[in-house]
Amino acid sequence: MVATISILAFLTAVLLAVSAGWLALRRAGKKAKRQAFYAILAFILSLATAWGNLTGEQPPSPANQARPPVAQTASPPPGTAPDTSTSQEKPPGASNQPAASGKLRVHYLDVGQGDAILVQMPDGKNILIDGGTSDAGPDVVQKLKQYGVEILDFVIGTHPHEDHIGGLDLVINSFPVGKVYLPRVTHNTDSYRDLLLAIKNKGLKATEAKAGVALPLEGSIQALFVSPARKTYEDLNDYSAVLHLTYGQTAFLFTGDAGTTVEEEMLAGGKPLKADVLKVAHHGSRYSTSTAFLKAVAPWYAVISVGKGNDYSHPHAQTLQRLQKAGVKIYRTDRDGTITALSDGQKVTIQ
Amino acid sequence: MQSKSERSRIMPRRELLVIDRFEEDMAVIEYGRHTFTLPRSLLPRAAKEGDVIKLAVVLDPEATARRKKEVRSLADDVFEG
Repeated sequence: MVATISILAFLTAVLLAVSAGWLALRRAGKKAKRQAFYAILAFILSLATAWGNLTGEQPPSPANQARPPVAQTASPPPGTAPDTSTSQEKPPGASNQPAASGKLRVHYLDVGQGDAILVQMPDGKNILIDGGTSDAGPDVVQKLKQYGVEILDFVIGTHPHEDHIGGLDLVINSFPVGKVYLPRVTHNTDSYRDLLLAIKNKGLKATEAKAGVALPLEGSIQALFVSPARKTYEDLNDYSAVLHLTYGQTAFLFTGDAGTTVEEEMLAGGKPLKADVLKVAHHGSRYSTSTAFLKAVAPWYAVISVGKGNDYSHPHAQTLQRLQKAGVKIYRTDRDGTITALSDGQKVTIQ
Repeated sequence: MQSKSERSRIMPRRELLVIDRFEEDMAVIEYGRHTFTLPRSLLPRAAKEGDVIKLAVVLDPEATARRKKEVRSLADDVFEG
């Protein structure tokens, strides 16, 4: 409609301009001037309508601008969500870049003296790393529900100590679970036996968590176990499944209770350790988080999962000093409650 | 609440005391679904994580009597009149 008006106006402008020129050649001055004036008016009208036509049919939007050239040439039929066409037509190389709206959330849950960490991925999948003590089990289940968890795609028990796996049997009995990862070591406690029974009764199998094993994730997230590398250790803490998770340009390190011996082993093995956020091992015990390890991880933020007034004086002053000396900002669940780290793939912010 | 005999009938297995871990000079002992800590010095030197332990609590009437006498004598000094 607008297009036809602009074409008609343009043709009129051309006709009037030609006739004005012809009149000018015939030296009919007054008439030629009038015709030229009309020609210019018609030309301006044609330009104005043509401009309105362009902007009206193709409004410039951020989605259109961000779309790759392939998607621009093929105009999507009305009613098609622009997002789907974009993701389908994305070149393979672009899959490493997270979607602009995709946020990774890591909740270091306040479960008293123990560990329980919920990772919520941009695609809605959930990873739970440890489930607190046996006593904290019901609280962990409730907190997971608060964060909208319906399915736990991955459950990781870092090592068999009760303050890490005590609540996991209740968690496994309360949610549908995809895969369970545990280091290949057993413990004689009821809590560990109950965890194995919960896995068995659900018809699940445990996958061995060890250095080199990666979670089967898609897109711009990678999660790789960087420890344990050996078959046997003296201390159960050292069997801790240590997970290095990257999302775009950002990274997280989850250390369980791994001690300095294992830290040295990871450093010697050249494992990926660099991370924006470090879950400080063993509730800030002095037997973890060595200066050399901190130098390799080089975190901006450290999270210590620790119970108020615990019997073991966690976190130890030496560990806090090492973190402070390295210029790391420290967050503690005993003071700050549940700590949430948010990553957009470029940058991590703490809430 | 179940009576003692009912409970032992339903759960013939006595709840074990298992060393879950050591933290500093404390041993964390699992007893059923709960944990408590014991000073490590109270455990045999050879005790390791995962060891099942037996606790035998024995009353010591002589030490009780000695302590009672000592505290009473101290109280006599401290109280007026």
